[in-house]
Amino acid sequence: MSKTLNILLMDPPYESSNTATAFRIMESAINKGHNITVFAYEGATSLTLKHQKGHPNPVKDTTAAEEKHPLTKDFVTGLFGLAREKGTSFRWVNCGFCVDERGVGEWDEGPERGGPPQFAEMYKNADQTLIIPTSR
Amino acid sequence: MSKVLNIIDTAYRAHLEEQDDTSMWLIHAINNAGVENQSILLTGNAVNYAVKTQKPKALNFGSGKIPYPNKLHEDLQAMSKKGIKLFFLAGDVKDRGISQGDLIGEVEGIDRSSLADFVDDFDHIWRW
Repeated sequence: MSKTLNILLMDPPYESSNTATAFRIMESAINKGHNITVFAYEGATSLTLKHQKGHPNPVKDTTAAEEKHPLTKDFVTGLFGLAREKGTSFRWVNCGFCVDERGVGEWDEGPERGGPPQFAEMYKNADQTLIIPTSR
Repeated sequence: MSKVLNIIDTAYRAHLEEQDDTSMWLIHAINNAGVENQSILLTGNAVNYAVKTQKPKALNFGSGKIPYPNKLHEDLQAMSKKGIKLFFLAGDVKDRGISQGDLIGEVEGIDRSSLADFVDDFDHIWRW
């Protein structure tokens, strides 16, 4: 029987292994047929920013095309696609206050804008909520 | 309704530029949105949030301003009035040379020896 896991993320992209760990948890849960809701809070609202782009790596002497630098917005898009494929639900809500103070309000199709009422609703509708905060 | 324990251990996270502690802000906001039965346990350096003599001053960085730095003990008292229960880890207060008399009256101490039983009373544990 599928369950719903609600996750609050706080870390910005490329700052902490919390981000990759959270995406691993989401992917694993979706693959097992569970539903996921995500509330991106504070710096995590930059995870879906549309204007992310890869870059060359001068240390490895690779071009941008060779480097294929991972982009967190693509991870989120990938999880939306995986959920569709598996027939589960995946919802991503960016905290609107956090978006505005960072100017990161442009994202590709999928994520939506919300706030504490949406997080409250997601908590109430979930079987469990996992908080993954910025720890320092 | 399920009982939520928010354990706040990371202290002073962006609280100046936000003029709020970001975890306490969200706890308060979702309480207003209907998530009741919440409690807060202050641990580590966050026990200092309950010290009642905090007097943060406004900051200016050239023309950039932080006009209303938050008074964390007052934020806790405001949450207490909304029904959010407040606790602190007694050993963490003692380790920092803070006496219970330095704290606001709304917080209750929990001994580390009884922490497991205390936590077991909640349905959800959110560690911030």
